[in-house]
Amino acid sequence: MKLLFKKYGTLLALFGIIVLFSSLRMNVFFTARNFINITQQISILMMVAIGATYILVISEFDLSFASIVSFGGVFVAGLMVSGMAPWLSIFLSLSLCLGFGLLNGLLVAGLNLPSFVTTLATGTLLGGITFWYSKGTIIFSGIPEKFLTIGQYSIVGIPISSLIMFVLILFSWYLLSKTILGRTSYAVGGNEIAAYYSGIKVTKVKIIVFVIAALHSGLAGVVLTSKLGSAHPTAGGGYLLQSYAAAFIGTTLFKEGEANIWGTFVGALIIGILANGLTILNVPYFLQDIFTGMIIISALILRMSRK
Amino acid sequence: MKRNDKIILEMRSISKSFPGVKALDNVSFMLKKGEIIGLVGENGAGKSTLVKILAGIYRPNRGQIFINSSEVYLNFPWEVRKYGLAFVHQQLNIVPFFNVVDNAYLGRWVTKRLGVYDKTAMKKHVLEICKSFNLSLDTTIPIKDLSTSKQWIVQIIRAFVERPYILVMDESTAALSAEEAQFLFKTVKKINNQGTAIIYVSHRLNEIFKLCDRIIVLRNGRKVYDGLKEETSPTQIVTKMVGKERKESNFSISKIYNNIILNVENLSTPNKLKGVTFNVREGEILGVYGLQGSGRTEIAEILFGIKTEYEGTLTLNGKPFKPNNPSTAVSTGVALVPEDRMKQGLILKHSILDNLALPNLSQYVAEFGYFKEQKFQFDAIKMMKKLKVKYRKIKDSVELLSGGNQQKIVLSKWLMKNFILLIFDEPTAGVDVGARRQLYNLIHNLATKGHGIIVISSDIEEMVEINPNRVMVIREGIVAGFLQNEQIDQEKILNLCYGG
Repeated sequence: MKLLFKKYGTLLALFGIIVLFSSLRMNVFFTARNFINITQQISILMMVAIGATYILVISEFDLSFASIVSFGGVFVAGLMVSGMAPWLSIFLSLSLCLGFGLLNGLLVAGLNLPSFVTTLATGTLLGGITFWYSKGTIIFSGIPEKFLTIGQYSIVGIPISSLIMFVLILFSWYLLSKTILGRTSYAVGGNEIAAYYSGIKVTKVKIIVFVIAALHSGLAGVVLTSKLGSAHPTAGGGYLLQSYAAAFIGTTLFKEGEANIWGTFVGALIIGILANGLTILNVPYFLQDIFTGMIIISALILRMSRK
Repeated sequence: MKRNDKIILEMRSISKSFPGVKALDNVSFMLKKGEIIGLVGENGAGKSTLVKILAGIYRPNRGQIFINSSEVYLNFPWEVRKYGLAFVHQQLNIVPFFNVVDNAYLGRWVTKRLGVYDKTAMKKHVLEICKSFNLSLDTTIPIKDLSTSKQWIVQIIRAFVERPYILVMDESTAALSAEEAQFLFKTVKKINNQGTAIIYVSHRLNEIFKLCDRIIVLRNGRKVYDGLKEETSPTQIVTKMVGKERKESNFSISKIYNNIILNVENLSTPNKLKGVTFNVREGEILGVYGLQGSGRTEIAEILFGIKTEYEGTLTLNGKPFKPNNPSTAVSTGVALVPEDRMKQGLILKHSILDNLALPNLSQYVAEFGYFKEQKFQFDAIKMMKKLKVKYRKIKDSVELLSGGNQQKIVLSKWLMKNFILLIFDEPTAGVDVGARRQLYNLIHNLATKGHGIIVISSDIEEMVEINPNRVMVIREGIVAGFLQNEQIDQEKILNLCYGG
């Protein structure tokens, strides 16, 4: 019983939250419509959290996510406002985010700088660039209607942003658990020295992971702008901590003590459902933060007790 | 050296066991005031255990310790200081960017009232000590800017700040070059002249003979010799260390072919190796013996692409060989079973399967980078059977396995792919006797198949038991000599090694 709780405690917590909200507001909360809603609400968080999962897999940190989300969103909007076609704007914005991930990777893996401080610095730098580019204002007029479909429209009842999230989840699940790149990433995170002594190109693996993570954050930024119909230079601020929270909660599930995509998804669901349910119940926003904080701490304790 | 016959430390009938090993068996000795004792013995003889008991890190199973004729219980490391014991350990424990004074007082800074830290008092004391040693140290710059030998001296000053009765030095010169050790040496003499008794643990017999009044030899946890320096000689000490029973190997000598697999010429590194030259033939087992810090591991690191700062020519199978990283070394056919299994050989938390897969991923790849896990698992299980690895499930984490089985996993990683040269660095550290034999067997089997094998070891019995075709002895970065198979015995190796 105790073992079962340790192994599936986080899943139980998720069901507990669902049961709790259902019993309180059955007719509003426990509906297919609301669940579809929740997937849309967490889609952007989940995209960033997938990136966080990769980074945790190699036992590093990337604190520049928030800045990449903001930059991706602002840059795509700025390009479109200046008359560029949406698809080309998206492509360019994502390319720059990719380049930025490459910079992070080169600094951390190539020069062996500590990732925590390095990405804090590159994130600050990118934040400055975003402000400079947007002149510190919100970009909202001139974003083409066509672009807004990504964040606001649905296909056969399912929001496009949710679909993008699911595709990304499946892709990363395949990559991390079925391919040799995934294996080497876990090996690098498990014991970098042993991986190196086994002939694995540790630097290369790390750089690839930083690039993938940055791309996910960039895409999250693009979807965010589309969803809001506007781009704000600090729009990504809230996603950094929440994405790591989701990924950390995820380490308690499935792959013991290690970050994994489905675990992260459960983590994002917990955070998302909590926010959704508490909003339905009209609970003030600060209480949501208190709950989220408590859940993350519980998850960490659970993870520790398993070791 | 004001020696008198007052006994300040006595260890009486000390025994200490660890699961499966008797590290110390009824060891007794006495230390007189102002005396310097040299404590020698092979790896695993019990020297470190003895030092750790004195330091309060281990508690003996049996036996008593007396300091100044009263019995003491050294239960915790922080208790031993009050008995006037001080230690200089094997590792350099300094904070690189603190200056000499702060390092000398690390963790027990002298304070004025209200906890204000008394810089002047500390500095004064350190300068006094320096003066009494005839040393000039720049106390203002960060310690990282001083030479290694000076850093060690600061470590000794640290032990000396509280004027210990007894100073224990455990392999404090292992990391130093001969000249640096000389420098350190003079300081140790001066400390002794001020009345401190010293227990000096070292691998370097010449140091022991220069410095010590009395020499104690440990072998397999027992004291086998205890006598004044004047009454013995280095050769005699080596004989005592090795013991009477000659180890004979059960392995027949491996057949060598003409084809030279590896040729190393004039290998030098900036601060260790000096002109190391050797080769390995097809089917040959080359033993490399050397003390810690002699440069034996550097050779492996260069061949495996971990150390890239060196001069000299390497040739592998007739082609120039210049590995920049392990990845290129592996793809050219060099494999390494590294010295530190836990840190370098395995990902402890990961499964047997995952560990085995590490260097073999690219051989089991399908479209879209897909890893053919089923097929790999099939082959992995076959390999585990072949090597008689004991495990429950292939997906259990490797930390559940015994040392011997873990080492077999490290070896299996390489056996699942093609290689020409296989290097073992301390192949049986932490491996029990039964598994040891199996590993030696595997080494011989691999040589029979025509691979070139290098076995690096600091375990002399192992060196003899493996029965290599040749042994190369490394001493302070140079090749001290080669022993052909029929010449290999423990005394000859040790004599080369200690330059006796």
